[in-house]
Amino acid sequence: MSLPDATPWFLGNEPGHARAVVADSESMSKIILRARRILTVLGPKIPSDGTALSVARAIPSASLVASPRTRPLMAAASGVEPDLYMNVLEVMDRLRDEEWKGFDGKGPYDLVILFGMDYYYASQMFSLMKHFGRGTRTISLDRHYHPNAGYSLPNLGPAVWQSEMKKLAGLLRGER
Amino acid sequence: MSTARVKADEVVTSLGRIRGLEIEVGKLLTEEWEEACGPTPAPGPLDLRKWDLKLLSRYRPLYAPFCDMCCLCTYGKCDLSKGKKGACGIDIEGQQGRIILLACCIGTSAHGAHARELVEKLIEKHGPGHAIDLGAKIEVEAPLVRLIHGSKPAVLGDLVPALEYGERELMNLLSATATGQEGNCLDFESKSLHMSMIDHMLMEIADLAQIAALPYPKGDADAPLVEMGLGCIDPRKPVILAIGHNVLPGAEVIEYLEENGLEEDVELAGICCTALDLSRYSKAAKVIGPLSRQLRFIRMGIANVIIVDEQCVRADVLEEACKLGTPVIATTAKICYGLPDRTNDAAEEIVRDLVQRKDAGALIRDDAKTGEVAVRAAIELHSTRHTRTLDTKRLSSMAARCTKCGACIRECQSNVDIPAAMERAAKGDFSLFGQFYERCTGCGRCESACPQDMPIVNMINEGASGEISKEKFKLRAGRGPIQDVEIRKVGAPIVLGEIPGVIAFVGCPNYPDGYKEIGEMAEIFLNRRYIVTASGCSAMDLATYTDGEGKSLYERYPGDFDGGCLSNVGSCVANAHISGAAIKVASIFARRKLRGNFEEIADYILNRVGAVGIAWGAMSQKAASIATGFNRLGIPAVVSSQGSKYRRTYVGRQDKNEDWLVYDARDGSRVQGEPAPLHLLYVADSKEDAIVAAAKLCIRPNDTTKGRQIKLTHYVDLHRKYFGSMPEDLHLFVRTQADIPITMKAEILQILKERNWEPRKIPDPTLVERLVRGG
Repeated sequence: MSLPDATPWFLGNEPGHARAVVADSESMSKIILRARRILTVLGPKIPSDGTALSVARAIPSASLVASPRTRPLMAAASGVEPDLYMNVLEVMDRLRDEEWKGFDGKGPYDLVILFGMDYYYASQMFSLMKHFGRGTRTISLDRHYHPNAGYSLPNLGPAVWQSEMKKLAGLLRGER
Repeated sequence: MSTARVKADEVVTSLGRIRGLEIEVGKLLTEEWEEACGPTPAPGPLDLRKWDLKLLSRYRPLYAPFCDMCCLCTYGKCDLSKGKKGACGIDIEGQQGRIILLACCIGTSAHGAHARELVEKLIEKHGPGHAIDLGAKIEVEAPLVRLIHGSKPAVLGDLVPALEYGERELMNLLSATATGQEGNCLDFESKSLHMSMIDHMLMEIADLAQIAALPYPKGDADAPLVEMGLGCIDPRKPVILAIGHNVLPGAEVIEYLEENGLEEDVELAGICCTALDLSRYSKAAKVIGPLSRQLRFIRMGIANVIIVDEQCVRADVLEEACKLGTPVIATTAKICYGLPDRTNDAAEEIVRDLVQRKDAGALIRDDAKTGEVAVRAAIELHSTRHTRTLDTKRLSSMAARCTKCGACIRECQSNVDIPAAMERAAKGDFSLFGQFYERCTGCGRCESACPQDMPIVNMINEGASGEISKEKFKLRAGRGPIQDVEIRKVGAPIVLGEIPGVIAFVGCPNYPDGYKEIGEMAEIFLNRRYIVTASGCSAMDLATYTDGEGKSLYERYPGDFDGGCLSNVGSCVANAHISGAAIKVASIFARRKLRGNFEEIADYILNRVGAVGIAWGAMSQKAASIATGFNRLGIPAVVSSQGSKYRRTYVGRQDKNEDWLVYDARDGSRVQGEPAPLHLLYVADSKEDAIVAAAKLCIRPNDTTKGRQIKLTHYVDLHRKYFGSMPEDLHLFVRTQADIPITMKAEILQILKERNWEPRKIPDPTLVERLVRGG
């Protein structure tokens, strides 16, 4: 069996040696289910095929935030109702604030899941969190390896990613 | 008239000690400007620090490092991740601030050196006493020089002291990035803001010098419409291509053509800001487009000679030109490409060597000689041309060699499926490549990564050949400054909010989703009667947005600085006219003093002038300093997701009331202001986000109730259109019920009720305590 491709998707995007742990759907599900308070952020380019949204639906998020651009998509999708719509950068700005109590006012999050963005933009947001996110763990569910995230899928082809996402959604729903 | 100049910092004579003596023979520099000087003429790095820290306490720098490491000295590499410090003691925040300052210094140096070259050469040609005369409609000729340096330039020679001041500041600020100097991120940011303020002044000097000395439009709203696009070049004629930002070598080409009656026989085409400035110089010059067209056009093999001057020129132009046998003439010390210096050789000899391809090109630091050599070589080379470009059949057979390894995709920021296009191209179908044309930024990194050395850019050209041949647009030539009479007309409506805002499209063509997006955005604001203005590559890309009849935005909207109009101010350095217009609103409409009075004017603009820059494809360090310069003046900028790579944004928090306290200038009381403008540098998630954000960022605390109604109408309407709902933060921008747009009253009142909204006092807002009039 070949090793997963855990090189930055844009090869020039080498940040240093502090790099994301490569995780598959099973490991991801364990990390997610162990978290106490999850913030899920859906970026402006979340795929519209339903796979990503089915994962978003299955994540036990304390808060679900989506980029405003996704509004028409969310309106068409059933069962995904973001708690609010907000620009991703504005979300990240709050996460660096030690005094901030979360979108629901119940305290800081211990896990941030971010997906559905252009690779380079997501990379910058994960970098922001890596350095200024006050130790909050981060997960990328995009189909390309993000070294700046805490945990990331390896680089995957579209079909493999779809299959991993379906598996993850099932595991999060308690299906074995 | 010949002149001589004597300068001395200090002279001791029997009459006493004289400081700052400057004498020019033939003209005694005297103080003729009666306006009282403000507190900060020619400010040093610390003179406006208090203002910066006020801004930075509201708009906290938010860093997204590109890299965890610092590689700047031999102590390193140092890993700055996980809270670690480098060997010099710097942390990741300080390092980001340092990199930003470095970027702003680089950007400023590019504009400053451009200004230096223009001023020196134009003084040499026209004399230091050549008047800066912009016509009867422009009295405030240099708002930035007046505001920052505190001088009022009347002739070209008067620009030199301000230029020297800028150069001094650049040296000081660049020194702060050395190992062992500044370490605090906020102080790095203050220095970046200072550097970028200077950048705007230097851009103004550069553009003012060329407008004064060359036959450019002088603030004309009806500057001519010129031809633009790859399809407007006639390949049957010899073609000279000029790339960069400096008009002077290309202008000498035009001079030579006219002197020799060749203007109908030779095509002069430009790319990037050289193109924009050549089109200001002469209608005969053709504009190919922004810098993203550089590699594509060179690959088309149409140019017989390429002239490069400075800034935004690809480092591999010579290499690319060599593949096609096209000679390159380098014209400034900034780009030499290893070419032999032929400045002192006879034109005839240089032409002979270029035509015989003895050398790949020449460095010629004499613009008149460049003009002659380029024209003569182009004519000779055109008559003996043997095209080395790749034909369809050859490209198709090359595509068949693609192994689908995907290396190209992993370099493509536009995320286009090149292997799929290769598969089709191998069968002779280049249509998928053609579809990439609009999204591709023309960087060529895909080719560089390809182990099979596929000429992917040529393949995209091949797929879009039909589109390229039809690519003919009308661009309004850069008009230069905004007239004082225009400011008198729009000043009150802008400040009172009746014109909903000024939207400036600035910057480079590194767009996330293709070049059509800024046209779509501009049209939305034009139809809503915002003042829309543009510069640089953005100004060119706006010309590509056409209606069903093929008419560009410039043909459909007047070139005035007024609601519902689209003005093109000119090249990159003309960005100074946009910040200058905001300054002129404070000066001409509100009669605030300009001279050495930066803080008061910036405070005025921040609180009253609803202007926003959209730098949708910002790429270079120059774009960093341009945006940061706007920011110090209180003008927010919106960038695309590509702009997140600048590593730093300035974002505000509307949920933190304490950040928005202001002084009421009427009595000095501290009152709750509004989160307006909410951000100074904002990364928009999408085009839709940028549109809504720009409308919101035009809101200013001093809007009249009528003006606020108008601004909220647009904000709400755009939010509904693109996001399908009312804005969640609407209650924050309603001060009294009189602010509520009448047509939305019932709906908004319901929202206000749900949010426990209460009316607030509308202050005369200022962040600067000394500007309080009473109390």
